[in-house]
Amino acid sequence: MKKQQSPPAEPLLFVDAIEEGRASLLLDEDAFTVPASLLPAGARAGSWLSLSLRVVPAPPSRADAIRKKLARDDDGGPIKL
Amino acid sequence: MTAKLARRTLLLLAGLLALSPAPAGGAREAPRLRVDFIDVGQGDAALITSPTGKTVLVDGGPHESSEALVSFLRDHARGPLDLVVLTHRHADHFGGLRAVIETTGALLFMDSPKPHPGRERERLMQALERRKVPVRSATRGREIDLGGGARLTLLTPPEPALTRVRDEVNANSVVLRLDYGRSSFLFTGDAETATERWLLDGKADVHAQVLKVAHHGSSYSSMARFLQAVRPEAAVISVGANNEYRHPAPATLRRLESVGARVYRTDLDGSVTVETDGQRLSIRAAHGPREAVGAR
Repeated sequence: MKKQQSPPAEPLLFVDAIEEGRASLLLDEDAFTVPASLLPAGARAGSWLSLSLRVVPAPPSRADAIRKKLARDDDGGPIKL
Repeated sequence: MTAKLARRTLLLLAGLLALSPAPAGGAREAPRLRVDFIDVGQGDAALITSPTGKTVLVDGGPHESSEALVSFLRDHARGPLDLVVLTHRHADHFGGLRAVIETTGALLFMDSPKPHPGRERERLMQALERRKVPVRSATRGREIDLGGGARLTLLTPPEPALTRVRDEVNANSVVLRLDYGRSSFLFTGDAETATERWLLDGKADVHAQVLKVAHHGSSYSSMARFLQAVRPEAAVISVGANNEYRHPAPATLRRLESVGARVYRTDLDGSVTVETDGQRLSIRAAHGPREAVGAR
């Protein structure tokens, strides 16, 4: 009988320090900082957090529309500065 | 202005010219082109100043280096930049551009027209809109006349765009060639080996005296065949000290050494400045001595 596999455990992050509005997090040996406001309520230096990420649709952006407007007179030819 | 005042002004100008010291040996010094590879940590930013004073910024480093970049531009560029070119839309190349647009200013902006959903890009576009900066599309073969005989040529983005490669954004970087007299530079963004193969297969003229090494010296770029085609006398790696990607890769450094390039690194040398009269290069690093590299 095939052994049932348990789902992979969510990675655990250690809150190393919170300073100047930034939280320093450790994922094993990888250290990175995030805004402290992203931490769940009750988290403090020394807390452990679980990390769960998922793919979501891109938020609406005006970037391409603005670019199109600013490039409307671009004839694609050589440029003289 | 009255005729009398105009005559006095002309006489004064003539007197000033007569008092100006002649160049040593009576020879007129050739106008110089200057390229600053700016130390922006883990990212890229290079300022080109043409012999006629036109300024082009290629990439704007990461957001965290915005202040250092703006400060450098304040010291080395007058007024708004004539052109800002973004080689590709990764944060370590465009994170500082919004601050540049809002403080230094720019008269023209160029990037690839390929859509990209990032938030910071939207903020950059909003800054360009507020400042009414026209945008131009980076397309292969487009030429930019910098004045005084200096010319930029876009060798990529590849057409059609490279797909099914390790990193599509990097692989479709804008690669620029800068020519002035017998001096030449190659700005490679984060081009990958797929880009290098595309350039070589298309017989692009990649030979250059100075190479801005692709992708901070990563192992995904600078294959031996490409470096043999470029044959750079000097190679500049724009890279942050102790970066987590461990750039530059030791293998890349060995390949650069094997083609005889003198390697400069912004993490060790600080900003690197190259000047040329179109014949000979003079290179100085912020943390090191000035060196001369002869034209081949």
